[in-house]
Amino acid sequence: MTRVLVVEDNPESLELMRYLLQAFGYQALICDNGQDGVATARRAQPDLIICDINMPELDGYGVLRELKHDPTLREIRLIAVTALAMVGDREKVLAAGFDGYIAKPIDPMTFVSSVQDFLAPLRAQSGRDVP
Amino acid sequence: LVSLVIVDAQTYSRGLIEASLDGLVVLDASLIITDANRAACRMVGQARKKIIGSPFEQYFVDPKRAADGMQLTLQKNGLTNYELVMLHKARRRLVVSLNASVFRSKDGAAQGIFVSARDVSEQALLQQQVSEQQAYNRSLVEATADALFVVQPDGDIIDVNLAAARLTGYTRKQLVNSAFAGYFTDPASAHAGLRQTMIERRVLDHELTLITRVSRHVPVSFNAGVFQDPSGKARGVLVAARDMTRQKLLEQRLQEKNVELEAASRSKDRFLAGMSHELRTPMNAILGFTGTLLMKLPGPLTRAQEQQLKTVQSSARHLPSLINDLLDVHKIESGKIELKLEPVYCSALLQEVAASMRPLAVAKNLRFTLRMPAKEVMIETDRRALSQIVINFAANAIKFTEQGSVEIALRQRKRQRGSTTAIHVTDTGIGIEPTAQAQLFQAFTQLDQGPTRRRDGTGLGLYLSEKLAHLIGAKIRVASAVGAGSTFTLTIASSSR
Repeated sequence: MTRVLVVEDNPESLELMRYLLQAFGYQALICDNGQDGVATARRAQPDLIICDINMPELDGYGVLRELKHDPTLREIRLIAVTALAMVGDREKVLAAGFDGYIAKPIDPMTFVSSVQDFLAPLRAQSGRDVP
Repeated sequence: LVSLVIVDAQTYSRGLIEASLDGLVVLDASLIITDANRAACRMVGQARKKIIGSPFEQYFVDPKRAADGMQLTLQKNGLTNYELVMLHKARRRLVVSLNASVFRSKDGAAQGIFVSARDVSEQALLQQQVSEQQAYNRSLVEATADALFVVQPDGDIIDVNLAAARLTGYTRKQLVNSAFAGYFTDPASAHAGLRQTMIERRVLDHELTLITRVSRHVPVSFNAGVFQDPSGKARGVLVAARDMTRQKLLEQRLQEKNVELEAASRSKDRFLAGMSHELRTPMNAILGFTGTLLMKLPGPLTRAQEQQLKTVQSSARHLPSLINDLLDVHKIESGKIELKLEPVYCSALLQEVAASMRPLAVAKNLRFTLRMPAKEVMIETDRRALSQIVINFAANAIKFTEQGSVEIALRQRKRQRGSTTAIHVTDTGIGIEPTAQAQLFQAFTQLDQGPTRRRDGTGLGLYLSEKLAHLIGAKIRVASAVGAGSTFTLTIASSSR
């Protein structure tokens, strides 16, 4: 089963993403802060990480730094999820090194297909099945 | 021969006497004039014949002083530079300076006085002017609000005005002959200022801190210039020091105010960013779980449940766009929007807009057309602003049209100087009452359309469009008839190069 780690400090958003992922047959790992997110990633080695940008203490950029500096985690695709509040936010997020971007508010109709798109190149590489 | 020699000598002496520019008169011992030369006659304005035999003192404004002068001559055997005012027949007054000597007989008795009178009127006038000028200069110096110091090249103060005494707290007496530089917190800088003035002849706004007698520190700004002797050689420095306490205080207050305003503006920005984040966060859950319910992920829905959830969803969807529009309004109104002027190909831009708007029109069974001239239209403008305005027009057109069509048309007209580009968005919708057209561009005025239901939208679209149009130097016009539809036109004038 494909495992997706969701790091998000807002419990409702976290629950929404967990629910959607599970409803479409993924295994969802959840963390409500950046530090736990990095620790869980290290322990569980998920296939994809979805991470909120705006979090207290270790924010999305902090998580990105930690993951990309760890050779065992560097290869895991990391998707930012945040509101496109300001013009240029998307560019900023991608320039920072995130592999993709999901805009808030999350549209449940398209959320899972976006996740699938981010997993597709991975699946092509490893030859793993669709979940 | 002897008499001839005597006559010659007499002629010679007379010649000398007459050649003199000074008035020469001879008086007898009783001060009656016995002889006068031509210059003397000119001075009093009378003929020689009349003068001879007349008393000497009668030719002066103050006869007593004239007589006293002559008595003094007799006593002291001479008189030098004795000034009198002489009366001319034509009432002109001359200031004369008298020199006199006594001539005596062999036995020593005074026989008479020899008087020479020099016209010093011009000199006296000059002197008066000089002293008046000095008084005038002094009052100028004293009237100046700035503290004035006159400083010698060696740095010692020669003179000050009252303002300088007031500013420093020292008396004029204490200041004069003391070292100028000694009155400042940084004597080296004061000295450097003087030296620079001697070299450059003029120094402006040299800033120093003065220490008063009671050790108060006063910020001063001095302007200085050299004063020269008639040959042009610098003799010293004239320093005008201005008390800058008030100005410094004002500057400081202004700076503090600025910092305060900047902080207020920053905190307002932070507040808005925070608020928009806080508003978006619950929307995520509302829209998200309404969505999962509508996707029937948790289980089947009744028709009524589905209908009501759709109402929740469409109402909730409205909020994020309202937040976006409010942030845009804030950015425009606080001047934070940055325009990027660049060459924009209108047809490409309109095609993009049409591509994003067409599905909305098609969903309502409206014809959607885009008309463009064969020739490419390029204008220098901000792409985002232009595109935003056209999107707002098109979204409104679709929103308020139930059947018929929406058309975007691009036209360019050559003018005498440059050209005018117009983008028309025309619909066959409900139209706008003439009286309501004026309110169109105000914030939150979606016009009440009577029995028709209120349309979705933030009520900020046209308000924002107007602001954006103003920013890019464009104009918006509306033509509409109730029941027949509306045309919104954006006109952009561009000058030819």
